[in-house]
Amino acid sequence: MGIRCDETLLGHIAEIEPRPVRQRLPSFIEAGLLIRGPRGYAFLHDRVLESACLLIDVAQRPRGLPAS
Amino acid sequence: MQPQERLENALLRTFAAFAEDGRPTALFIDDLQWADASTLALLDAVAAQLPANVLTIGACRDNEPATLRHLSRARSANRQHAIPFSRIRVKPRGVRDLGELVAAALDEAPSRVGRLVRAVHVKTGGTPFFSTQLLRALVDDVVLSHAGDRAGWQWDDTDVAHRGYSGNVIDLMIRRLGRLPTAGTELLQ
Repeated sequence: MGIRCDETLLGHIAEIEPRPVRQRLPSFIEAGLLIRGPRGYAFLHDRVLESACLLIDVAQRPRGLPAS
Repeated sequence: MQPQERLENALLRTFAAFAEDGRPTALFIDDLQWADASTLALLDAVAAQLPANVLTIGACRDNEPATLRHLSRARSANRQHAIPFSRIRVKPRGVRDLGELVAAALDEAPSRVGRLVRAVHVKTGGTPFFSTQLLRALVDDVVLSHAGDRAGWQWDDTDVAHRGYSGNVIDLMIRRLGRLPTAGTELLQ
């Protein structure tokens, strides 16, 4: 999706309504990782986006392997 | 005319429409290390026929050889067009600059946060984003905490120095993301 995403589109992709989208993200905004704009959300920095992507890989690695 | 070329021309005309004598326009393109082929082609078009009164700034990490090669090719191609082109190496902040950044972030006097700044500099090498994230991680872990308006921010120097945050920003970000609700992290992905 890139560094920013429209709220409605984000809901469509995750197959949830905009309201739960809004409920899930405040802690990320408070932690200074996301920014909320007039139409949606953006990662504060491309390093945040990169880290979120890396987390997918770690989660999908077979259990038992070191998650380095 | 090919679609890509038509798009480039339309964009160049748009940039030109915003700029005139005495009212220059700055065009800033961030994160060029992620640029796709059509964005790089647009940059070539900008370098070849930059409209008057437009300053273009592109930012790119210096560890991305492919993009840098592309940019230096654009630069040499541009010599015939005589558009001034300069490369600015953005270095990490020194201790003094980082001190100002940390002091501003915490709303403290630079003299009060000197030791904290030196500890942060040792860990981050002075990269601004890494440094602000490290401060936030210290707050997450209650190593750095705000003790009210009068006492301001408090921390223990040894505790800060001995925190085993790894030496790179990605690991620190993964650690910070890991503290947050999984439902949200899944949504980000």
